[in-house]
Amino acid sequence: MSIVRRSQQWGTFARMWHVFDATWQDPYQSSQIIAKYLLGRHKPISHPMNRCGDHVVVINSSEIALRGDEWQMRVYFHHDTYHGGASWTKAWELHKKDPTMIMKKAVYRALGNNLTRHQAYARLHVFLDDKIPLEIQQNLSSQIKQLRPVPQRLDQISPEELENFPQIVKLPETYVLT
Amino acid sequence: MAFARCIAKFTKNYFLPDSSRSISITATRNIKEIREVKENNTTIIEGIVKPHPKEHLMLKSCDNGACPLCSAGVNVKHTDVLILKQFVRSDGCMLPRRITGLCNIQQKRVGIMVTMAHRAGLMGTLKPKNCRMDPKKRRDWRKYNTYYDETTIKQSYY
Amino acid sequence: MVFQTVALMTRARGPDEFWRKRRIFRLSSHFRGRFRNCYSMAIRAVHRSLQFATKGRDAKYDIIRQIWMNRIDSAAMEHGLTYKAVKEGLTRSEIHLNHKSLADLAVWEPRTFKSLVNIAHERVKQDGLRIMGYLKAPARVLSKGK
Repeated sequence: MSIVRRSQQWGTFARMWHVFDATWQDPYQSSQIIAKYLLGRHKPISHPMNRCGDHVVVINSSEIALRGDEWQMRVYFHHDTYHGGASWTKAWELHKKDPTMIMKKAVYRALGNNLTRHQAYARLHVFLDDKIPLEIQQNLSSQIKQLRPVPQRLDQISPEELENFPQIVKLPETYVLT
Repeated sequence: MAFARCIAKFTKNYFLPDSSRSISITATRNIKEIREVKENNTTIIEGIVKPHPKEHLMLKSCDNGACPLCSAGVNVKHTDVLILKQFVRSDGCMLPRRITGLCNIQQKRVGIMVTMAHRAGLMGTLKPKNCRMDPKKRRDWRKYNTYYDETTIKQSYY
Repeated sequence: MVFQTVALMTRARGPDEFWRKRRIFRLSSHFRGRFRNCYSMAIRAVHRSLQFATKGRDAKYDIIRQIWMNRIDSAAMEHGLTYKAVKEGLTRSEIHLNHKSLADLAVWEPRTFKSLVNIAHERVKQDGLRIMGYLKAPARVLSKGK
């Protein structure tokens, strides 16, 4: 095999490291995308028997956003195999205990129930903030696009933009806002 | 305490009485501008209605009778705080329909989206006094980020 | 067939039975435990496995088709388009390549596939479909013959 072909082979099958910023992202929707990258389904050479999954580094997992009242309503079940050992933990309680846990569980579920799950899950690295160990940071070469734009708070918007934004409401002439 | 309040009321009523005049010399509301024009021996003092300071930013209204939001044709979401800001008072409450001029459906829809934006902590500057709108200062599940889906707004107002 | 005694000879039901069983055992040779060598168990397992094989012959193509679609989708996503948009755009441009050849092009001829995606993107944009990707349509591509 020539050097050119060999390097082409390496380039095709080399594992990449992607970073995903979980700020204001729904963990259950973004886990579908992350699972795709972990299993290598984002490559044209993907095949169930082909080991071409990539590494994904999820940062800011403490800043995830859940939809509506899901912080209260979504419940995680655990049973310690003893009688009366069932326990139900609400999502916000789990998030308070470990800010990376909801993201990890969501991805673990999205990977599907087969023998490739364990190896693919080992390629996931979740961090609660943007502080990553240097040896992981050096590997990063790609970024996964966020599903939802991060919403802008009113106090973060610059006064020039506030002044020059188009007006929709025309208040009555004698009406003054205080 | 009651005594102090009594003193304050007395002071306000007798030493600093509230103005009950319908015309004010100073332009407190900035609705009208008082102009003084001298022509020979006659002096004309008139109040002219000033144009709205954001008149040039106003969207062109359609003549088909649709409400401003329907005729603008924008898909408003609860994260569009710059749009929702125009429909609320300084304390974050929704303006009534006779002021906003919206149709019934849009008025309800915007009202719900204003609530969503408040709950998500996006309109932290528009709030009543002594109200913790910053999500980080809230307790339990309220302090974590929450987003809303506009498709969950029920469209049963027809 | 060699019989030691007359009793065994009368009991044997001829050579047919032996070879008939051999035919079954050939099919059960890769089974586990007694399903391999005990005839009454083997025949049941072979019947069962043949039923699965019949179903699997059709199911195999579903799986292969899924892999093709996945490959086309992932290659299209590299250029900012979805699988649906590419298929729709190519069909409207009267480029009727099937899944297999599209997937082959995606793996082995990425530049050819890219030019196909460009055509699909331009066509989808011209027709004003909502499934268009988030990228700008490429310049200098003709999707409609004029």
